[in-house]
Amino acid sequence: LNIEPLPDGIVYTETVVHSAPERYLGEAPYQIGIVEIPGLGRVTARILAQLPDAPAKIGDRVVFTRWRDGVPYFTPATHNVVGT
Amino acid sequence: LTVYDCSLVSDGAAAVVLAAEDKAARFSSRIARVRAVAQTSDSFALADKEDITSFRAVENAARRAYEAAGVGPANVDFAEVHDCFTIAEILATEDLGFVAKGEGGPFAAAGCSRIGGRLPLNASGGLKAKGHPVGATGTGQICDLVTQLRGDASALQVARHRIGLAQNLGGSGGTCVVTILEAA
Repeated sequence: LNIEPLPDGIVYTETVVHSAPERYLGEAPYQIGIVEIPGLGRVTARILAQLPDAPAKIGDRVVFTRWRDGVPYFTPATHNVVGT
Repeated sequence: LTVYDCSLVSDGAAAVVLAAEDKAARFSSRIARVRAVAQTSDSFALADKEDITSFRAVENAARRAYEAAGVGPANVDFAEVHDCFTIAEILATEDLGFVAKGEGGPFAAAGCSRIGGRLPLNASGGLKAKGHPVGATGTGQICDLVTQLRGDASALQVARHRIGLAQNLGGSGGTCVVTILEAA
């Protein structure tokens, strides 16, 4: 189980999920992506951006926010942390 | 990806009859010969892949299948590729060596992959138009190849049909099977 925080990362690629699996229906639309953490590698992550106005873009810096169900959540570095 | 980029998850079934070469004539006068079958694997998660614009499992399976069959991509007359999404056909066109990296999109846009094009891909309609009954899709591709090799595809028949290739993908590119068949 992942409990250690992760360093900040860079958005390698991203997409917005509009048609969510049942478990996450109430959360759609939400952004997911692959985040590159220099020196560690890449992780598939949820990105807590302001949707639909300000989705994170490829190359944006993101800050680790929390783990949930084994998935790391990041927040765009330019935003306030959402929903910790 | 939007809805029209995605294949239809559907019901379906497919079967093939395999026989040793010296026994096959007993069962049918219209056999197809298996030139190669190659199966490979790679990391499952997209985040673990070196590159997300290419599937290494497909490149490796293609290389092994071409080696085993003693043919190259230029010898393939037509193919059924795993277009679970529109982008997947483009990646397959490149990873199977039919075109250089970056050329898969222009290849499709120019009509080269149509029936009557330079290299017909998914004359059957592929996963996107024919449907994608996940467990039957791979064997269904083999059936589509054999139909073409026999010249039985009527309105969907491709002009050159001596060597056909099928590429079947699983688990976000975590596994790949490439099969090359030849008309007997």
